[in-house]
Amino acid sequence: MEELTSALAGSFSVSNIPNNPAAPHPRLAQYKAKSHDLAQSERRRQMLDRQKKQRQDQANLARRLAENDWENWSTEEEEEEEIDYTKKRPKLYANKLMLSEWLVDIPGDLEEEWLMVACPVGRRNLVVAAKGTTKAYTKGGYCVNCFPSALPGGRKGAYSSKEYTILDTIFCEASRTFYVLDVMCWKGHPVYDSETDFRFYWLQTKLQEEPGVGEHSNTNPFVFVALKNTPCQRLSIQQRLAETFHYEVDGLLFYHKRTHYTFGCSPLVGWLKPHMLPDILGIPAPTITVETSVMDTIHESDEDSIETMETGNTARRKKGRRRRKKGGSEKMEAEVSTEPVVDE
Amino acid sequence: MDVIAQMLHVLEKTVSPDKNELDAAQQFLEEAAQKNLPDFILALSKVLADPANSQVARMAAGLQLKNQLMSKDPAMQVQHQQRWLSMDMNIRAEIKNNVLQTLGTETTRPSSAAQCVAGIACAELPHNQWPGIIAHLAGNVTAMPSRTETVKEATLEAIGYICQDMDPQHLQSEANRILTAIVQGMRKEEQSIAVKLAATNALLNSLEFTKANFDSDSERHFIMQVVCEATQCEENQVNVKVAALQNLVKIMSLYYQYMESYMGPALFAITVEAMKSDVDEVALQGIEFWSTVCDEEVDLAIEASEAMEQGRPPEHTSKFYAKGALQYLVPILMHTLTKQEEFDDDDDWNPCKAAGVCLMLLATCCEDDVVKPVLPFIQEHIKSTDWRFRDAAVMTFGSILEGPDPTTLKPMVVAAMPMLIELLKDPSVVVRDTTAWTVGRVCELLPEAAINESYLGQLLATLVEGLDAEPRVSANVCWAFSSLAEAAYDATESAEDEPSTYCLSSSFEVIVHKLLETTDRPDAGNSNLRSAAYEALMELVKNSAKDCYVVVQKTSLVVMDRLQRVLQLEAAVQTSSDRAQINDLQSLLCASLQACLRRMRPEDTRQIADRVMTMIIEMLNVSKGRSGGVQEDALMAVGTLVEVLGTEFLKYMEAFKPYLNLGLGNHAEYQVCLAAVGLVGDICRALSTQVSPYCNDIMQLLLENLANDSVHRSVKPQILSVFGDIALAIGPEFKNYLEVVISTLQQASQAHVDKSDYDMIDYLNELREGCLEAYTGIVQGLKGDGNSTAPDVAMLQPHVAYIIKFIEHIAKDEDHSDSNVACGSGLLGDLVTAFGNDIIPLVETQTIQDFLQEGRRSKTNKTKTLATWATKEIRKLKSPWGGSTSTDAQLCRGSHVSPFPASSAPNGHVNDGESAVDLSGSA
Repeated sequence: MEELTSALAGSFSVSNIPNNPAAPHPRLAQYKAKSHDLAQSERRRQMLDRQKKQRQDQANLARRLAENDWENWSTEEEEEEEIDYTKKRPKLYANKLMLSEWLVDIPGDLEEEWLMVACPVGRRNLVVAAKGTTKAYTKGGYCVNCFPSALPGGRKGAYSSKEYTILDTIFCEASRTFYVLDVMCWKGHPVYDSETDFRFYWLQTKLQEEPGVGEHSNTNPFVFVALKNTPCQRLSIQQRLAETFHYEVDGLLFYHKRTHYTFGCSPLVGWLKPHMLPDILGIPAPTITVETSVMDTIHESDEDSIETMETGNTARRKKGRRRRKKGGSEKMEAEVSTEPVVDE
Repeated sequence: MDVIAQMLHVLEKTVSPDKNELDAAQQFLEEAAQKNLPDFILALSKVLADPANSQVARMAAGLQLKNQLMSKDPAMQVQHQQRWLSMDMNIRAEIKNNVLQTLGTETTRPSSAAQCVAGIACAELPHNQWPGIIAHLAGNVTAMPSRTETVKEATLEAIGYICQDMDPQHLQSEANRILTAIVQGMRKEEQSIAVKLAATNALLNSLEFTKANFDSDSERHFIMQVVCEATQCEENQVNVKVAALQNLVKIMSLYYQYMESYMGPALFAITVEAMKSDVDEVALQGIEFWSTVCDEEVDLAIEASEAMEQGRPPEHTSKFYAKGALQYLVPILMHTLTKQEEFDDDDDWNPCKAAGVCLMLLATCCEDDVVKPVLPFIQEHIKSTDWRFRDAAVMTFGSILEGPDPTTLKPMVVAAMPMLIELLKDPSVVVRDTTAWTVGRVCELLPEAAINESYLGQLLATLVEGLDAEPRVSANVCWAFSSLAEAAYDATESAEDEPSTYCLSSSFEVIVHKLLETTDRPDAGNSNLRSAAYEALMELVKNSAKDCYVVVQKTSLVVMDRLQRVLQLEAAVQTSSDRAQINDLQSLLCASLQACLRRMRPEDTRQIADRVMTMIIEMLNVSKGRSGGVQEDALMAVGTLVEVLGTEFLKYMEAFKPYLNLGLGNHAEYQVCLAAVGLVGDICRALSTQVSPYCNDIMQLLLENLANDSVHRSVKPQILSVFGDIALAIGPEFKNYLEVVISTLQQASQAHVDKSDYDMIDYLNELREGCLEAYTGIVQGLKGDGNSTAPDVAMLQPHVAYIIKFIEHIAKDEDHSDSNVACGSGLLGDLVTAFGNDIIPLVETQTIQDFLQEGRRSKTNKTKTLATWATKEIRKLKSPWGGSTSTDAQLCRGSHVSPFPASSAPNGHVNDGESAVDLSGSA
């Protein structure tokens, strides 16, 4: 009988018993409620948001970074709408360089998959040639120089909005030279998402093809020189370092052949000082010869370059410390000395 | 044997304790229904109607009859009703007559005849087939001289069921009759408690369609008077009292705007008295009344602030009843908080819990005003020797943390924290639980107060200890850690992506270790402790500083080992509860692994990538068709790996492809399908052109999903967006799919929805955004990223006019989202860059210009930037070379599409016939 009664009552949700104990009260979920940021539904939402953002970032990369246009927009905004003057204009080119980490663990594929570039002493600059002018930015996005250049898009006259160029360079003031490490955009063609192999090839051939970039002139007051890259077999490295340099060598950058051009520190770019070669790669310390004419004009090495090249994090530093005990390098010592040495 | 006699016999056996007899009876009834349904139902109605039959047989007959008309499954219900309507009119009339006659003749409650009447009425009334029924029922109640008490009771029950189960639109015309009958039954002159109760319950069900009666002052006064009187009935009529109070709660939420004249003279006094009642059911309704007032007034506050932003007066205004009553309500609520159950059942709802919730709602609603009336109670009792008062004090404190201005609360919280830390070790588990919850809330709502240097160390140590406490306490501690991690990370305000260290660094390893231990506790299945611990672990990993990296890396190894072990357990799973546990665990481990992968350096991730992929594939294999949740988390984990590995993911594509395709084809579990669709986007971004060998299969599955109406609607906008991802990845190769995709987008872009449903407006906006993103990917992909526009983009030329018309269509819809404006602006800019001067006239319309202006004035930076950029691109073309408009006119004229007629389509859905896209949102 009771079963029958409950079968009848159950089929209608009307019940004569208030607060039917069979069903949880609708407000029960509010009692001592906790937010769950990582419950599956929330994880799902976060994933979708992330995908959406990446999709839009990718679309915007093609639209915005390409055009050296940020300032123009702002002025336009000022004309049309009220603007909050207290807000700083964001630095468009802040943190748009690919920076290295100390190469302390030797990658197993170093010989096959990496390329070495010998870097001159100088300031690390992002060079943007667009809209008839060329600008040099520090890694923090601060514009330090503005000049005409023979780079596509870099000087008046040869104006075309489509022609712009973005390069990763080291600026050597003494020789009025931008040594070009890497190319991110050439003539409006972005290559951020191309592999190192290709970017280096593009850099070498394109810079060569462009008339006037290698010569000082009124319309090209600074010259642009592509830095040579070398495979990383021991012998190749040795041979490269035995050559005569046109600049004072600060250190060696190692690029993984397959990395895209990414912003900020990348573990796929390594940095070594020449005197660390015996310790880390087992290559005899090179005696680097620099053309005497260059030597005369060389200045003291630059704070900025040190800052730019030094990166790394605790884990790496710890490993670095081990290295230092055996070989030692003043640069690394300076780096780790801020940390208390606990073990060893 | 006579048919009826046999039926009678069988029906009595349906409650037989002998299983064989029972089965035989069931079988007989099923066969009888199948053989001749009308005869079967008629026979049942005869058994039901005859008072000479046993009560058991009559009830069983009623149940069988009702089951032929009603079903919990809505589709089945429709089928049952149609089957009924197709029966012979005379037989139906006889049956109806039998059930109506039964009303009031039964000796058991509730009346089964009342349910049969309601079942038939619900089938027939929408088709105007039982026109006199409501009048007949109403007559049963109001007739003079009066019908018997049992007739009135059963009739009012029938009316209540009808009101509840039928779409109100079919009852509106009968509202007066129904209401008259109900009010008649509720009058204080009514002597029968049973009749009163049935009437009061029926009123509760009728409130939604009696709006017209509430709109009329005199009718409303009368209804309110009857309801208020019913709340005051004698002690022995407590059920009536509760039902009447329930009515007040519902009336408050439905007719808030009309309550002003009743609040002061009646409602306030009635409900406050109810809150103080010793009868739990009465107290609960009193508290619920005020919780409902808060809900309403919070909504009204939101409406007011929205209206202010738009510079118009709000449609409805708050009367601030909660603020006015606050000082009277708070003492009662705090007193109710001291009536805790010592051994609480999680699912129980009691006045103490209701008071906690109500206090929280009051804080949200009344904001700063709540602080003053609660403080004395907290101060007086937080150190009480009676645990009930300590707990009530902490609960009060925890409940008011959201609502009042944080700057008001912060000094109070800082002052209270040392005490709370102490109370985390209170001898009473109830107090420990409430304190842990309160600390969790502090961490979430006022994080700066939680990570205060002067006690952070002590807090962390105590919380770590708290992980050993009872599961419900420990789960709250986990939650506190989740919030702390985020707060600590945000507090570093590091300019870099990742701070080098933060205030949790020194305890990080200990906390993580203890959380991992907690997930393994044998009682971690209680109070959701295991999930809470894993979620805390994920938050910690997600919000870790650089100096915690080693621990994060170690955690990833632990997680992988556990995942491996769980996979080995698969074979041993026997019970369904084991199965559920294993599934949850796999999901949680997968999500934890994801959190680690996101945090790890790419070179370290690369080293474990093989192992991760092998495990995920195994997981996908074993969970196939078993657990969508696991599949979903596994696919999301792959997404993370794809992001980290970039092109290197290519080496897994061959092995992974079958599982991706399975996911895309999983229509039943749309969350899995959705995750797979999103993953396609990730893979496209990572592999770029290298994804092209896989595109044929993927495109086919995606197109199938779009056309399939059993695929859940939320997947569809995502699929459109992913078309854009594919187009952008493979560039010119997308040509192969261009035609079909363009026509698909054309259909999707013409979707209409029922605008009275907010969810559907959101859905429409998502759908349009999907189209915009797809077009964007296609334009950008075909154009190429080179400096000159690739010739392939010309293939899109014939569709440009349509696309711009589509953007105009969105612009004209006042419900479009800001995100629509961003995507639309970006697309306009892309089109202008790709097609140049030719399309300038198309974008120079007032609608487009207004649309871009809206974008430039958006509060969202992204939208602003894109709209400004697009405007600039348009001007660039116009200024130096402007004036060449000869070709464009032709382009405009040549547009063969007129997609959006000014009077937009009927409120129905997009599809007519053989559409390739089903966007009806039905699934």
